[in-house]
Amino acid sequence: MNLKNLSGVRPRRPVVEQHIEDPWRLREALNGDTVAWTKIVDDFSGTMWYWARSQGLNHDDAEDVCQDVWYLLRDKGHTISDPRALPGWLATTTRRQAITASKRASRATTTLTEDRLEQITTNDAAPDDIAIAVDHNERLSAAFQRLRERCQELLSLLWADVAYLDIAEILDMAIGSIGETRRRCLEQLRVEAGLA
Amino acid sequence: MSDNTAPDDELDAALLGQVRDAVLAAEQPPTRLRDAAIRALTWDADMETLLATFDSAEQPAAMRSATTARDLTYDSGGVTIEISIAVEDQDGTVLSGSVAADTDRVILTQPGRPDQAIEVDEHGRFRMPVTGSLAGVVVTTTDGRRVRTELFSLDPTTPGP
Repeated sequence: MNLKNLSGVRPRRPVVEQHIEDPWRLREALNGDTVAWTKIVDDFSGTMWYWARSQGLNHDDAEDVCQDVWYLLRDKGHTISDPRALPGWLATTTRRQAITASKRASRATTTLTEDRLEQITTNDAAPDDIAIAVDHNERLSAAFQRLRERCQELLSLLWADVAYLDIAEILDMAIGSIGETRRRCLEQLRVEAGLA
Repeated sequence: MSDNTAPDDELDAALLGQVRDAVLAAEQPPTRLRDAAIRALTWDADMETLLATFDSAEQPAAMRSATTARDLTYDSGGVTIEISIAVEDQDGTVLSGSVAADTDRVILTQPGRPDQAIEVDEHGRFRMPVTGSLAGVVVTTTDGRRVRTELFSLDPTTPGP
């Protein structure tokens, strides 16, 4: 990205309108606003990590992938014509880089699922004094792991506010079926978590 | 969320938020990754960044080379950088190309890695095996101008964004 091509002058418009058009203040971030950039990093780091790990990458490779995506955003973020598409861009780029990394690596031997199952098993054996909220989280996390992979992918895109249009492209599914699939996945999640 | 959201939708949205928090809390990215992500904003920010004026990966399939090489051209204000990325049997991924500029230094730059000097012959040509997934080439001209290509993928078969 050519930082010099971006005007340092912010448009004079009401704050609310600006945030509707650019809810993550992407343009300001790319223009060097470290507060806006840090907010984007904090909002999406966790989900990007999940996306990278769910492609089967080990910790080191997932870290490289996520780091590369941040550099790519800095360099190529100007190509995102509608800043509201930022979550979709991050999802697409993280997944693409992760797939490339997993092809390049000799294949990660420790997958997210294995790690998670180990963690969940360990946590299941923990003492009874675990807080209820933690127990609820663990139930949800374990229930999520038991969902079909397709449901896991869809829900992770939805919770990151990826637009339906981008989800349809990423998951190669009809845009009209996303809402119903979402409903069914959440219903299955309730059943698996004992919330139904 | 709109004002006329059905209660079921609100419940679904709440559950989605809860499962996000639960799943992401189960395994968080390392702290150093956050630091690296924040540093990315100011990485090489003092340089002019050149955008590709030609990218073979963006050509129609029928016009692309039959090989797996990817060719890129960067051209701005008297600096022209031509790059080819290919996977070779012996050396793995190889970056080759040429620099047409009044330059005294050409550097390979990669996120999270130390810069590497690129040896350039008298005709401005270079060739070096590379590892990693992304790279850029920095050229410093004799009059002190520093330019950097945008980052490009080192996988010629999956060019990326």
